[in-house]
Amino acid sequence: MATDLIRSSAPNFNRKRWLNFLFRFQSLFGLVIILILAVLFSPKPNGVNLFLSQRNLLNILMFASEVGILAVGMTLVILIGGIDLSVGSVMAFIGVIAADLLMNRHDVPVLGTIITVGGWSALAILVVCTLVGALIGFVNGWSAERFKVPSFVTTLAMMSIARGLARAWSNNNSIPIALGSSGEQLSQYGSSGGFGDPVFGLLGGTIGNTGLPIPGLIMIVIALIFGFILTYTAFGRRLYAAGGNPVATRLSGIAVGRLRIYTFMICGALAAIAGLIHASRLNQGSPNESIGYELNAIAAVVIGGASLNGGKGTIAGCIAGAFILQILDNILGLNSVSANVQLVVKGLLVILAVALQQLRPSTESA
Amino acid sequence: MRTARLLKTLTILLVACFAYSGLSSRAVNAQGGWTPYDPKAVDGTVKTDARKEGPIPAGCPFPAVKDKYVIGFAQANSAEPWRTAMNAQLNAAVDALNKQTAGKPSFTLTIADAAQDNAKQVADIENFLTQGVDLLITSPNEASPLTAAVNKAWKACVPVILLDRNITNTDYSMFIGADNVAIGKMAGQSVAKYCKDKSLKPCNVFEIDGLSGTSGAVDRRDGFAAGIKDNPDVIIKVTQNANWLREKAVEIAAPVLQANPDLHVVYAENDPMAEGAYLAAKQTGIDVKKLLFVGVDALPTPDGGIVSVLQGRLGATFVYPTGGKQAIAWAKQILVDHINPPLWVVLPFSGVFPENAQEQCNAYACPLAKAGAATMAATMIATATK
Repeated sequence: MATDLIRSSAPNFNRKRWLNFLFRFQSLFGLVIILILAVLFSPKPNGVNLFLSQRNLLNILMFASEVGILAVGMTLVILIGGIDLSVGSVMAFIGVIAADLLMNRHDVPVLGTIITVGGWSALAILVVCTLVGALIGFVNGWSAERFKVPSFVTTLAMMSIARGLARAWSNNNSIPIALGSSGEQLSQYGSSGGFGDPVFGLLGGTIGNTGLPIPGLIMIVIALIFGFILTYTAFGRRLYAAGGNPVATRLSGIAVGRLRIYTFMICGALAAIAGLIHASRLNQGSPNESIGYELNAIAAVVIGGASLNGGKGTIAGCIAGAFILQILDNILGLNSVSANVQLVVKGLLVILAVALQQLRPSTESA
Repeated sequence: MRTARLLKTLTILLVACFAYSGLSSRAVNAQGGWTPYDPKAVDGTVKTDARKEGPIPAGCPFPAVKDKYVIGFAQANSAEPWRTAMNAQLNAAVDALNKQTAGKPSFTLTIADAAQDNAKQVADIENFLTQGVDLLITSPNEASPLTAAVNKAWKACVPVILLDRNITNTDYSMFIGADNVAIGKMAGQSVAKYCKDKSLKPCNVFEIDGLSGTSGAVDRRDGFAAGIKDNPDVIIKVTQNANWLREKAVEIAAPVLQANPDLHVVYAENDPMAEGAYLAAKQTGIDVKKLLFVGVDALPTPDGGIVSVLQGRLGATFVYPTGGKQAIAWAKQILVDHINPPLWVVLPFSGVFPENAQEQCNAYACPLAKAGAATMAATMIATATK
């Protein structure tokens, strides 16, 4: 093409192609680099590389899954130019609801009669909680569109509201979850009610003897689904368009506002799933959990190469970002480095990732 | 000729292999050789006796004989003053032990802090297991979330000592802590007596609870409820949750104190929360002399409970030993001496009231101690709990 001829005559054409390639796969290169560093810096007692041990790798997968699921939802929201600060509080709120509905029974007066709510099956709770998460996402998106305020503000408000609701629902207590058959002994430090549906334990458990974490599998499935949606469906293409140039997209007949609301609903639903996994893994629904998880999700998305202005980002990138953060936590933990150092390094990584984006060449291959 | 020699060497090798594996498997199965503990040497009282099969599951090999042992401690929240003291006492105990054994064997203690985050503490314990620690000590942040991780460590043949906070089952080696139910009961009884002496009818109590998923919060609340039964005029009017944290207590106490001017007693399940409520009361202009503040911990630090009672802020507190010293002592006995420890060891506690505060201060060397003024009672308490 004509433009190619003009470009090929420029002296630094090859360098630009390499830089493009580097930045497109920035997060994957970052992941490879951090894997190499982790293997190098892993403790090696008796010649066994601890980082590469099966138990350790499975742990990394287990612990990265919650942030990974949050990051997928957050990528969609950031792609469209918004941000969702409420995901951590939504996780805690959903955890409280799930634990309460699983373990306790409440008599609720409705329209004159009293109906008993509670002691539900795990599947019912999964469906209800995901819908509640989507509803919260709808409120986030709709209030941003209706009142024409940045989603930063509405999700900041929801962060506070969801946390307050979680505390109010549980009366500031942690609701312990006890699953199993009725023959088991209940401890006075555990649940005070009966037992909940044991299927709920599957959400946070491992597959039999292999030790494969089910949350990890859930994260991979969700990543594949949304990766497919973003790349191969019209919905995904519209997201990129709306994020890159909202005015042009709207003028070409796409309802950008409605698109934004859908993405917030997806983000809320995914936060609910992450909250259910968290509650199942820790056998507890508590309003004090998941504080600061939204920052981890945003960090994962940014390290994954998404631009906070919208229009750029991939699911593969955000999953890579989630793994980078978890591998970092893991290798510092194995070397018994203080947790405070981990926080500092995490922050520096985010700055580095954002700064690298500035160095990105402005023209990219179409 | 050559094949015959080859066959001979092969058979000798095979026989040697079988003999060796036979010997080693016998060593592995020699688990029944745990030495029973000496009841007279127990620092505290035994609530539940030792498990018959030993502190680790049956079928686990003996802790290997090494010259370097690594002990991992998963702390719940190092930022709490009482837990800072626990860390310091653990470190001091390990240093003393290393001096005593002159480095053969040597012990290393690694402390990981979860900052009240359950998921982080689970990750800390997993990391310790991956690193291959010889013994795990932990103070679980909350009972239900940490039960699976502690069980996993125990089933992986790592001895587990629980300090101060319990889990929801007994799949661990031993639990060391003071009796929180008894402490709550003594607190309740002292409040009942206070209300009776002042003829307060009804006597309204504001209870501030610790993190609700912890065994300490459950026990101190239950014990207090039992203790106030001594005086039927005592009622718990308001209950709030401050998660063991001083700043949270200031936040929640201010509106409660203002909305309920008829409160007489503030019972907080630990000293930082009691101090927080005291601060809130002063900030909102309430006459603090009309309120009795009760806490638990009584650390001998400048901002601790003993000084607080001496200076008239707290009306009562209870010396709650951290158990750090005992944990290291038992760790050494399990790892090196192969002694089968009791399942539950209860550490003694003592009350600190205005009338004995100076004695307690002298006994624990708090900053306001008066030299030479320690009485017999105080020294007995000191030796019992140290």
